[in-house]
Amino acid sequence: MRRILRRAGLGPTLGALLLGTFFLLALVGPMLAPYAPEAQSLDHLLEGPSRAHLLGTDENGCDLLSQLLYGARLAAAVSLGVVALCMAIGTAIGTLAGYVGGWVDEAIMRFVDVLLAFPGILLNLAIVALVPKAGTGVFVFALVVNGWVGYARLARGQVLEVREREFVVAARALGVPPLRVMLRHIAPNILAPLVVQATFAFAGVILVEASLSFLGIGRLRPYSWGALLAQGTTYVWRTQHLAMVPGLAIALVVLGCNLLGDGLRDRLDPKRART
Amino acid sequence: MLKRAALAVVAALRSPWLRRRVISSLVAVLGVTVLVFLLVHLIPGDPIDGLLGERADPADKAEMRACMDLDQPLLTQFGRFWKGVADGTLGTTCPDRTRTVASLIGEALPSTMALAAAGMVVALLLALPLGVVAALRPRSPLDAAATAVSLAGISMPAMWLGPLLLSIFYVQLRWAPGPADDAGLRALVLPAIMLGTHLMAMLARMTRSSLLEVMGEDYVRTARAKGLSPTRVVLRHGLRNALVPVITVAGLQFGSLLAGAVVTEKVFARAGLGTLLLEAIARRDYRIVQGCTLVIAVSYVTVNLLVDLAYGAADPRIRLGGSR
Repeated sequence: MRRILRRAGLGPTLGALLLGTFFLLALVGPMLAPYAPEAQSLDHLLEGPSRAHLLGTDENGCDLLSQLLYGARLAAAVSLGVVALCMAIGTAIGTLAGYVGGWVDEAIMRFVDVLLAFPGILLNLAIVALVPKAGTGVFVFALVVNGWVGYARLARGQVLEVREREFVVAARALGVPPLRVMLRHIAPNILAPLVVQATFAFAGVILVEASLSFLGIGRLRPYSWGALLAQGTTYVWRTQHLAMVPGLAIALVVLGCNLLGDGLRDRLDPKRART
Repeated sequence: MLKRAALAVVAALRSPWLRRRVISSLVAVLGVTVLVFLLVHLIPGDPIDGLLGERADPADKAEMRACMDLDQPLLTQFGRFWKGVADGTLGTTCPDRTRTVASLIGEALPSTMALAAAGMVVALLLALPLGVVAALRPRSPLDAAATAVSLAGISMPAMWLGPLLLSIFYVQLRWAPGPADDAGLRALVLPAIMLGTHLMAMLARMTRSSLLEVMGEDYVRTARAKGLSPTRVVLRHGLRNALVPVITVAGLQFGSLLAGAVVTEKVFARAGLGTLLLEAIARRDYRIVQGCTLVIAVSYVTVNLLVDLAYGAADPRIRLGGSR
C-alpha cells in the first residue's frame, strides 16, 4: 500500500479508491440493498437515519440507502455507455480527419466547430426535453450527439503528430492499407490523452444527468442519483439528509474522476502535465 | 499603450487569420441555427397538442398551426424563420401575434447577463488569490488547502450547492435575501456564488499551474537578480504573464455560465433567459426555443471571437502563425 502511495501520489490513489468503491457498489450494490428501491413504508416518511433505514427515508417512505445502491448501478452503466460511445466515435472521426486531411478534414472540423459553438448542456437538454417519453436510450443519445467532439479534436491533433513518425511512414511505404495503418499503428499511439479525457468526461456525464433531473427533464429512474438529489433539494427546508446523501455521493465520484484524471494526465501525458 | 493596442487591432483586422476566424464563426452560428431548426422540427409528436392540449377546439388548433407556420412546408418555415432573424423580431409569439420573440428575449436577457457577469466576478475574485497563494508556496499546507478548496468546487454539483447556500444563508442565518425577495444587487450574491463556483475552481487550478510555470522563466530570475521585492516580482513579472491563459479561459467560459444560468435561475426562482427557454421547451413553443438558442449561440460565438481577437492582438505569434 505504501509503495503504491509513493509511486502514484496521494491524489490519484484516493481517486482510484473512490472510483473503485463506486464501481464495486455498482456491481454488488443491488444485492446488498436492504429493500427494493421503490418499496414504500408509509409509516416512515421523511425520517432521518435509523437502524431500519441506515440513511433514512424519503417522502414516499422509500429507503434512501437502497435507492442510492440501485442508482449507483444506473449511473455507472449510463456513464460508461456514454463515455465509451463518445470515445469510439470521436476517435474514429478524429483519426480519419487527421489521417486523410484535405477537404474531409476541413468538413469534419467545421462540423465540430458548429457543435462547439453551443453550450453542450443546452443541446442535451433540448433533445431530451423535446423527444416525447424520453428514456435512457434518448438520454445516452443526447449526450453522445456532442460528446464525441472533444475526442475528435484531440485524436486529430495527435494523429497529425504521429502520422509523420518513422514507423507510420515505413508502414505506408511497405504498402500497408490505410485502415490497417490507422488501427494498428496510429490508434495505439494516440490513446493516452484520450483516456485522460474519458476519465474527466465520466464525471461530466454524472453531473449532466443531475442537472437534467434537477430541471425535471428526462429523469432516468426515480432512484437515479440526479433524481434523488433533485427530490432531496425540494425538502431542504425540512430535512437535510435527503439532499446531503446523494449530493455527497455525486461529489465523491466526481472528485474521484478528477483526482484520477489528474494523476493519469501527469503520468501518460508528460507534455501537458501540471508543473 | 493605447496606441499600440489600436495598431495591433488594425493589423489583426487585415490579417487572413482574422478573416478566417470571422468566417468560421459565422458558419458556426449558421450551423447551430440549422441544427436547432432541424432538431425542433424532426422530433416526432405534434407541438400543437403540447401547446393547447389534445382536446382543444380544432378551430383553435388550426389557428395556432397557421400562426406558427406549421401548416407550411419545412423549407417555407425555414425561410420565414430567417426572415424573422433578418428583421430582428425572431417572429411573433403565438397565439398573441402582437408580441415578438425578440421582445420577450430582450426582457429576459439583462437579468441573465447580470447573473453570468456576477458569476464571473465571483469566480475571478476567488480564483486568483487562491491560485497565487498555492503557487507561491508549492507543496506547503497552504497549497494543499487551496488545492482542496478548488477540488471541492469542481466536484460539487451546482444544483446541490445552490439549495445548500439557501438553506444556510437564507433559512438559518437570515443573512441573504430569499428566492422571491426583491433585493436588487444583494439578491445576486448567492446565485452568483452558485454559478461561479465551478469556474472558480477551474481558474484557481489554472492560475496555480500557469504562475508556477512563469516563475521558472528566465525573466523572472532576472527580475529577482535585480533585487526587486518578491511581491513586485510576483505581481509585475509573474502574475501579469501568468494571467494571459487564465483570462482567455475565463472569457471562453462565459458561454457556459450563460448555460449554467438555466439551473441557477431555477434554484433561485429568477426570471431570465434560462427560465424563458425551459418554459418554452415545456410548452413546446418552438419559436421561442429557436430564438433563445440562437441568442445564446450568437453570444457564445461572439465572446469566443472577441477573446481570440484580444489574444491575437496580445500575441503576434497567433495572428501571424498560419491558418489555425
